[in-house]
Amino acid sequence: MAAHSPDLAEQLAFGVLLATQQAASPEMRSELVSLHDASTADYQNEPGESIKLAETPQAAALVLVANTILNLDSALTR
Amino acid sequence: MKPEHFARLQHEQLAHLTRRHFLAKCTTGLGAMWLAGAAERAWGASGVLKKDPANPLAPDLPLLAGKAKRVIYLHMAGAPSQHELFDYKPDLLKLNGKDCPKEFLEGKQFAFIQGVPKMLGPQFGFKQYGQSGAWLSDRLPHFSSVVDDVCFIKSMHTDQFNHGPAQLLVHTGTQNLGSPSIGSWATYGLGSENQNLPGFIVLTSGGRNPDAGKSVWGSGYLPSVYQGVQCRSEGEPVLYLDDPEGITRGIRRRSLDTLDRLNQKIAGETGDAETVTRIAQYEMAYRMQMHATDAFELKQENEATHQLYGTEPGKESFANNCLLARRLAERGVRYIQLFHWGWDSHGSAASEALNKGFSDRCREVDRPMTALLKDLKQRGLLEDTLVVWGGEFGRTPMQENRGGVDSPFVGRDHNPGAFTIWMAGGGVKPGISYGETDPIGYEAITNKVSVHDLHATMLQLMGFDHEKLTYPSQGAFQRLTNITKPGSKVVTGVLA
Repeated sequence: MAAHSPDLAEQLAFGVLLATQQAASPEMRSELVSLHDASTADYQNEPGESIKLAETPQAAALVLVANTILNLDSALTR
Repeated sequence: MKPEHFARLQHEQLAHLTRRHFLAKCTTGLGAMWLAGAAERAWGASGVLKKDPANPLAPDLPLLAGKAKRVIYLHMAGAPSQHELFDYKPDLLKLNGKDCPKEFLEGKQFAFIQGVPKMLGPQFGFKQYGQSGAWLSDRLPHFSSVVDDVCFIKSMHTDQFNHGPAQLLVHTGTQNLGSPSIGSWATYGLGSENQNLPGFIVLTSGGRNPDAGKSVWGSGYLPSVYQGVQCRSEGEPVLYLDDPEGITRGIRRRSLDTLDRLNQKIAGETGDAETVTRIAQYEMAYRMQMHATDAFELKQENEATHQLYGTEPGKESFANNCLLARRLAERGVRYIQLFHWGWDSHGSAASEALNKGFSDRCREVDRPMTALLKDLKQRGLLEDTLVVWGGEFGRTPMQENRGGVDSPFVGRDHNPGAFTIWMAGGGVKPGISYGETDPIGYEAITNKVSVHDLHATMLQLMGFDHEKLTYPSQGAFQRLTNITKPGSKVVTGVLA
């Protein structure tokens, strides 16, 4: 996802496309962006947890959002 | 405030957050979606129980008054030999070593016996026990102390003589794949008393899963939420239940909130009740992270209890699973299915032979199943817990002669004509033996009980008429007792 685009929303939409073969709706994009922002803040406050997932809090948040995307019903049910 | 108090409050708040969050969300779109799909979907269609797809395991009342509020089924995979456990046949003892009379072989299909086998008398001594005078072999010394609580059915019979199809028949009502198991029907009909644990839990021991595979606890054509959840008695109770490294409970909570919202949109678009159920299951998994670990923590039990069951901490064992079954029953789990593997006493290997491995199996189950009955009774749970013990068919009174050669090991072939099960608690009449087999224990002859009769009886004890608990599939209303096999009846003789 990170390699796809410098823009966060685009990255997450690409992830959704990869997992579900469907375009992410504007609501889905904004939900996922909010999740990423909130999780980045969480990981900044918990560096011990953050480092278990990735080098930086932003990258850790991206891992978490990727995990969430992979668990979407539309990713699991074809 | 101390840090641990704060963390605890945070935890409790997070726990409440799920329920409040969920109830608040219930009004958004779910009602409309459900109505839209109701006519087509089987949730709420006529002839089917009304369920809320967002809460499919909510406790439900049965249609009749049933004594059994929960079931613990102890399945002995491989088919334990009734001749060496419960069905004492002195006539068979007299025939020991003689050639099998022709009339017992004509028209019969055997799994492995060829030509003319020898008759095999009971390999262990039998005595009578308790006020009921129940016959029991010397392989089950502990069990002799609880026979007065037990109802033996000696006249069970089936039409399957191979393990996979026979196990499917016992647990799903048909020898073919695709039908729901008894536990699925039970949780469909009754829901569960505990929303933090699965309503139908499966525990295995003996080193292998049953031959029929995981379909014996599958949900078939019932919504998949009613399938059995296999838990383990060593290590994590449920694989992958714990959050991975780097994801804290708080972070998981937020990710789940997002997932819930996104999945609800998807559910609205697709109208698929299974999506709604998936949301419910993720939420349950979140709650299970706290509650399953607690339920499975055998260390909480005192030493006396561990002695009673003969548990082996840290290992997978039938004893551990029996103790777990009691703990899960206490916590309101509706259907607890145990499988113990290794009873297939053909006599082709030491591990299962009557003169070797069979005694090990008996030792593995004798103390724990006795403990389970005593423990449930002492806690006042036995009267509304139905306990069932049995295999998938019986064994022949003839000695197995695989390939026509004498073997150093002693065994019997498969016999669908007669087998013994026992039941206790949950409205079953204690201290009786129901039904009889012929003088050599080959065929059930008096008060025969088919597998479907057993199902009808179990459903009755849970409060259901087996012909009325149905679900549409393939153009008909299907039921556990199998519409292609009419004539199943409740065995009133075993009801208290």
